[in-house]
Amino acid sequence: MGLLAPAFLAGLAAISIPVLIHLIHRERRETLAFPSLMFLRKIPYRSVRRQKLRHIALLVLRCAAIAIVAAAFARPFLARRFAAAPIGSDAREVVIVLDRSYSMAHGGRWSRATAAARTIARDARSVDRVSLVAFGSSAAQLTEPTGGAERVERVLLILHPGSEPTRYAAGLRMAAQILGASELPRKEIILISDYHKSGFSPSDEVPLPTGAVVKTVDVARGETEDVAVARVAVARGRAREQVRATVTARLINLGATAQNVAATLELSGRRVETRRVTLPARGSAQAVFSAVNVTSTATPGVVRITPDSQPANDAFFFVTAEESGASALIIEPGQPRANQSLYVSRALSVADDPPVRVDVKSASVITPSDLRGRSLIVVNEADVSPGLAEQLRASVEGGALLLVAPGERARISWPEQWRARLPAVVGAPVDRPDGASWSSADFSNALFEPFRASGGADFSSVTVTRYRTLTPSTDSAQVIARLDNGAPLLVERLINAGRVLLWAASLDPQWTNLPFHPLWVPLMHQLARRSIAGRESPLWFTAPHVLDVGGDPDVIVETPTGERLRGNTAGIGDRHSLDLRDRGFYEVRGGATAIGAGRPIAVNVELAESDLSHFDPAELVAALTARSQRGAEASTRAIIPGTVQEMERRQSIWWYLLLAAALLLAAETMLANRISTPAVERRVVGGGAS
Amino acid sequence: MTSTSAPGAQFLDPAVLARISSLELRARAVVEGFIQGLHRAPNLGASTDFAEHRPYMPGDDVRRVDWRLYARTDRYHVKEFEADTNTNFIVLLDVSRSMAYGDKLQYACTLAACLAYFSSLQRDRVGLATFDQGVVEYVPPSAKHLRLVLYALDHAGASVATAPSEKTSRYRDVFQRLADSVRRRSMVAIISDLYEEPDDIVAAVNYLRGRGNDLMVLHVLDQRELEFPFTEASNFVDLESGDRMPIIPEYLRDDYRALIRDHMATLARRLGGQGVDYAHFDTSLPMDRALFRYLGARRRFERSRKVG
Repeated sequence: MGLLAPAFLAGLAAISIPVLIHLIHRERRETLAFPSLMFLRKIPYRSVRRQKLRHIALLVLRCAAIAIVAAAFARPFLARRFAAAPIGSDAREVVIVLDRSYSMAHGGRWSRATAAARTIARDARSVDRVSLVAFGSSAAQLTEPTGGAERVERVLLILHPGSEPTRYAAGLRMAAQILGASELPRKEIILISDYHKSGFSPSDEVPLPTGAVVKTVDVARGETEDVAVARVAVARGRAREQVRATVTARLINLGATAQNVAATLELSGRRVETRRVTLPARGSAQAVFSAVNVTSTATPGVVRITPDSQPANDAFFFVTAEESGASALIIEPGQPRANQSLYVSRALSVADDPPVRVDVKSASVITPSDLRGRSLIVVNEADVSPGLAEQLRASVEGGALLLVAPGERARISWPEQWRARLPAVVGAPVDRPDGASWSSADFSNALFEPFRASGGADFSSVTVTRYRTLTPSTDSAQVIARLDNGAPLLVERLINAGRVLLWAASLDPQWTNLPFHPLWVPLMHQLARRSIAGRESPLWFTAPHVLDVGGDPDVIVETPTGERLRGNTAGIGDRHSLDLRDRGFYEVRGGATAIGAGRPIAVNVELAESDLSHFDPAELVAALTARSQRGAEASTRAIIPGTVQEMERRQSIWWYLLLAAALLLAAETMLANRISTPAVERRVVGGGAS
Repeated sequence: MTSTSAPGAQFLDPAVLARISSLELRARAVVEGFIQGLHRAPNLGASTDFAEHRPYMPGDDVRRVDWRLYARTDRYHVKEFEADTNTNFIVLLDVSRSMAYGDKLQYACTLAACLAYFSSLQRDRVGLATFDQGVVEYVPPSAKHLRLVLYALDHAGASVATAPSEKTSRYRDVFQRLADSVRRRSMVAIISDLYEEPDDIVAAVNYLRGRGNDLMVLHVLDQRELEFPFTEASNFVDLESGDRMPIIPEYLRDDYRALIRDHMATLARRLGGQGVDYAHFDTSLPMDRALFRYLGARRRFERSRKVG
């Protein structure tokens, strides 16, 4: 039991007032007529000093009312609700679920949260078991139930808010697992959080053990002021063979008052430019920085604003690099037909999203360097030597898209390893003088997905007068386009990260009218887009994100917190995945690469977590208990005072005390009336006699 | 103490009587109720001396109708007999300030009226003397003075002295003067609260008794004078003298009760020893006992007179 305003206890001194009144009133003598004092005079005179209190019940009521009123104004609260529980068979399994999403860094939320967790750990009895679970978008059990409260307190000293958004389901599921494995009779989850609205979804399924009680500690205090860097856009342009980038930052003001902030652009750790931006209340504005030259290598950049109460969203990390796009190589025979590759190369070269660099080379002059970095390789009726076949295999396995059109000049003498990698066996040409129409396409395939809206009607006007018969060779091969007679027109096969497409007709108007068809250019652009799918490098990632960093066993990852990860420490299978959880720059480099020369990876926080919307913890408790303990033992909800301010907000004992004082005063009035009535009657009688 | 369960006792209840404003009606109610309760006891006069006839009036006892005269005159006449006595009955009523306490004076007046009315019914000569420090009003005994007596009793409340008394023994002077005024042997009823020393009272009574009067002393007290039920410490004011005295009742209650009971016992013993009938009356109790006392005293008086 504690008091929020103990100074009001001085009011207890007022108890002396009714005591004095009762004593003084005792001394006020009334005059009473009596027939004769003859007998009274005969009684020996005794001097009595009499300070006797009368109407003790009335006095007690008055003193009690004053004492209760004074106690009510002192605002008592129960500070140790847990410690009051009797020790015995009611040992508790307590799981402290601590929110360490980056919104907890706002103002004093984190200090309040750790103070509340520390209080809970200290108040636990020796028979209780306490464990600590920290969560953001994922959860981690930081202490074992048998570790004791001291262990929890030590962990709290080194724990800080992360960069992840809030996902209550993650922390609660882990807590439920701990409680489910416990044999103790009482199970409690104490969720300490700022109750960020975006972290709670009513559809989250958290199966709580029967009898588990969810208690909440809300550390939010209605914080309303925050300015964040929401997004950064990098517009590239060329000037005098130099790539220039214009960085634009979008700033948002989540508070109710307008703000003027300074936005600073940093590239490679060097401050480039600072601009002042005025943000309206609950509005946004842009900070446009001057164009800067960028190199072909990835350059880390940061846009920072004046630090405020929420530091996690005051800086936005990104990577700027030279413009990237698709690179296509068209391999044609040593003696091609006229304009054999013209239609393909022209269709690809006019693409701008992404831009495609197109090279056309003869098969006989192809070198490995010609294939390096190519995302799209087109074998346009060219001979494939064993050496070229091996180079093509490496490129495909590295992620390139290979389009093969056997055409008229395709040789049956293709090397065996080359033929084995094609998705289908190439047969003899078939003539269709009447022109076979393109009857069907697999719109679930990414290549044709943009054309789904037409329902294939656009392809029906494509006619093929001669084609190679294609017989899918493996189960992994998939026919994604057919002619009206069912003959495969396009067959696809995945080989590692790359894929091979086998086209039954020609890529010029020799066998089909497709190059003159309106679909030709869009189809080629989609082919180029498809060739780089998954290979483009975003300017930043949003935590949490799992990134494939390749299969190099010597890879080293430097995290924003200074931690260094090596080899397979974070590997999944034979490729390494990197769990991006902290905001800032990760650096991925090979074992021989110098520090700072690796590939920078920018990671930012999820902007939704910056939203200051708060929800009532009761909703969460109601959702959990209603779902998990339906028909079972009812779960109770209690608010645990985290700090003195929290207690002040929550405590309500003083209302009951005031009510008790009012009842006492009412009883005092009734009693006083009852006591005073006979006295009045006596005075009337006596007065009448005299 | 007397019982209130006799038939007609409801007419004697002080609370009922208090609602009757006329003293005569009040006295009649008491006496007639009392007579009914006695079932027409033969204690009423038994004289056989014929006096006169008078016309029958409704309410007369039919047994008193003279049937012989009816046979002669064809009219109803009732025989009137001579009064069985010519006794003087005098009430000495204390109207000092102490009698104004509570209902004491009203009770005493009613008591006096009842006795006077009762006596008048038996054709006694009725007289009254009210006194405090001296005789306030005196109505000499006469068979026709009942109205005067009742009138004087009605105004007895106004006769309460306004000035405090300074005398220590007032009964002696008053009774001595009255004894000189009453020349014939009489029945004397003294109604007072008797706030005087027993020796003085007995000495004063002896003045009356020495003249051959038959005395009965009716000691009228309020219940509070007997029980002293007060709880508040107060300044008690003596109604007689005006003296003040700070009193804490709870400390003096037991002593007071013992003293007043001793006072009453002393009076009963001393007066009884002098042949004076003494009775104590609580104003909260019915007054039929007073009438019994009166009848007993009257019988004694008759016997003593015949003997004398």
